[in-house]
Amino acid sequence: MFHNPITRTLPGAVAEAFPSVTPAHLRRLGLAHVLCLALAFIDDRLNDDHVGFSRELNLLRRSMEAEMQTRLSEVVGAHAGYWRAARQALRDYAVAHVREAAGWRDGGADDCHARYAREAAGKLAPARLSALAVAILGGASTSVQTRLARAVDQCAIALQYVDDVGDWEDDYRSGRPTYFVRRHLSAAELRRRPRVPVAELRSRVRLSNASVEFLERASHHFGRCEALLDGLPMPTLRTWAASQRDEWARRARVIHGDRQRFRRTLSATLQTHWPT
Amino acid sequence: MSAAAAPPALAAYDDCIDQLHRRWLRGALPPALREVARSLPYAMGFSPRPRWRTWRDVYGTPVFRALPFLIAEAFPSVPRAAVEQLGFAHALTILLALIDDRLNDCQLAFARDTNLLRHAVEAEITAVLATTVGQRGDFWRRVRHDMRAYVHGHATEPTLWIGGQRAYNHSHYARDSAAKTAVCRISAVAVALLGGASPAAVRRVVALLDHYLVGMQYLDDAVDWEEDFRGGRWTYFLQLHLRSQEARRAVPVTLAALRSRVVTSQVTADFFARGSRHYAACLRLLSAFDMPTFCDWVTHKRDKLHGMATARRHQQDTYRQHFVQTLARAFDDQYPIMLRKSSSRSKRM
Repeated sequence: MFHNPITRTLPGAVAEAFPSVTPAHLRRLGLAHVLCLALAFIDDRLNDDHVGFSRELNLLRRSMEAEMQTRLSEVVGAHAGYWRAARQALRDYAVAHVREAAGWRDGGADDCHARYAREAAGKLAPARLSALAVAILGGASTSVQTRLARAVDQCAIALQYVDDVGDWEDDYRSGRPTYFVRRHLSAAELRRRPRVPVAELRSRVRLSNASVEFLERASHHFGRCEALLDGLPMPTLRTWAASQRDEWARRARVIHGDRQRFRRTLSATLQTHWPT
Repeated sequence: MSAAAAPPALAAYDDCIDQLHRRWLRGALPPALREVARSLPYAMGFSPRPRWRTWRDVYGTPVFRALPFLIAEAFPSVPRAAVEQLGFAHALTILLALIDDRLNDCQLAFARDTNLLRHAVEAEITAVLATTVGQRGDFWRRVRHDMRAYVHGHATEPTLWIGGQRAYNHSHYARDSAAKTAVCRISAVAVALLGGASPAAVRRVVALLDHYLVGMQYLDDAVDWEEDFRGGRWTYFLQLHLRSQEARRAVPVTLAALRSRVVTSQVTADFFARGSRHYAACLRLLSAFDMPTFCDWVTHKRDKLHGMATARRHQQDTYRQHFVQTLARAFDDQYPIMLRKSSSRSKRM
């Protein structure tokens, strides 16, 4: 399910900097982490009507939620700082999901990258909790905890940028006009029924600068994650963030190059047929 | 025990839980979800008021509303703040169970906002439990055990509805009813553990709660059977009024037919009597603890159900007597005519 090793094993990657955390605790937090991600995916699918609600699925979710929360509670106990962060993460999660749906409904009247980044971090906010638990158990100072949470947020934002560029057709077809999709539609088109055909939108995406911009921003956020980890001995997480930063910057350049070539060809073709 | 009749300490406790809930609504939820949270009890049919004002409007029984308070009377060493926090967690736990019940039975449509709300409720319950109880392994083992029972109880319930469980009896029913409500006991166990209860005392608290909740389920199923039938939830009460082919849904059955069977059967009185006996068993277990408010409430429930069972039996006896008298009268009126006809036929022959 989780091809990305860091997404899958975040507590393990963070624990490199906190060797005092016992393997037993790490295993519990590792399970809590994958359950948390699985739940976020199930809820995403349910919220977006990709998966139909059923008694069995709901009971499974309830069971997973309880197991995740029990694992976390057994390890972290009554640590007030952790639970403050947990409550904040859940609030961010709820706010982000409510705003996201509002954005789809009203066409994102106040769209901007800052808002997008805030919502992307919020939508994956619970994922930072197991990493935070590792840091707390490892005796990290408050400032280190804050840095770590911000680093995880930067990863979440970057992954969201990449995801939205990769899956825009899926999103559009299933009625989720994400920020990326909205960038290619006018306000009138967002409200119009029937909607703009996918083929039409595909050619707009090809001509626009948005894909390059989104991937560059993803690379930038991976870079910020790496910078925030500076000084923390988490080689696996840091190396991964740096490699992602370079990879998405390279892909942005490739798309940019393709687009430039396409424009030149188009311009040459036009000049051939309609010389000035 | 109505809100007006509640002892002053319980009334003050209720106010405190309402206050904690209000604070949570303001602090933890974005405005859109806050409105959903306020309107949900009404939307689910648990409150007469369109907007949440107090848990007293939603939960008529203090066991749902204030269980940690009732249990804490026997454990005075538990700090008041901890009891209040656990009370808040308890109110949310019941709310979550009701939301899930309604969602699972399709009585409430699944919606993004409801889902986000239930997610927030679930997280708040854990945060409160963890900050109050801490890392105690015995408590979290119990939570896991109760959750497993809850999920199992709800997952197997539809098998009964489709007539898939043969030889189902009252002991199965009591076991499944206790399982379906297992999450209700989590906060009570937390109070007992924080109060230094021995494992045997904790088991006793669990057992008395199970008896209480089974008693409640008996009452619920006997009173709400028409609603259950209409909603496709063929409970044990309904199964007892169905023929085997009907229970398997091979042959249809109408509400009118069932209504006449319920009127003439002993099942309703039996359910009330069994409910009363479970409350009595709860009372016996309660005698080991000093929980006066809980005792008063359960005594009231036991007597009320016993009275309902007696009244129902009396009503049925009266109905039967009338029925037999009517038959007898009809028979007495018709018999001489039939006799005359029969004798004239024999003469002709």
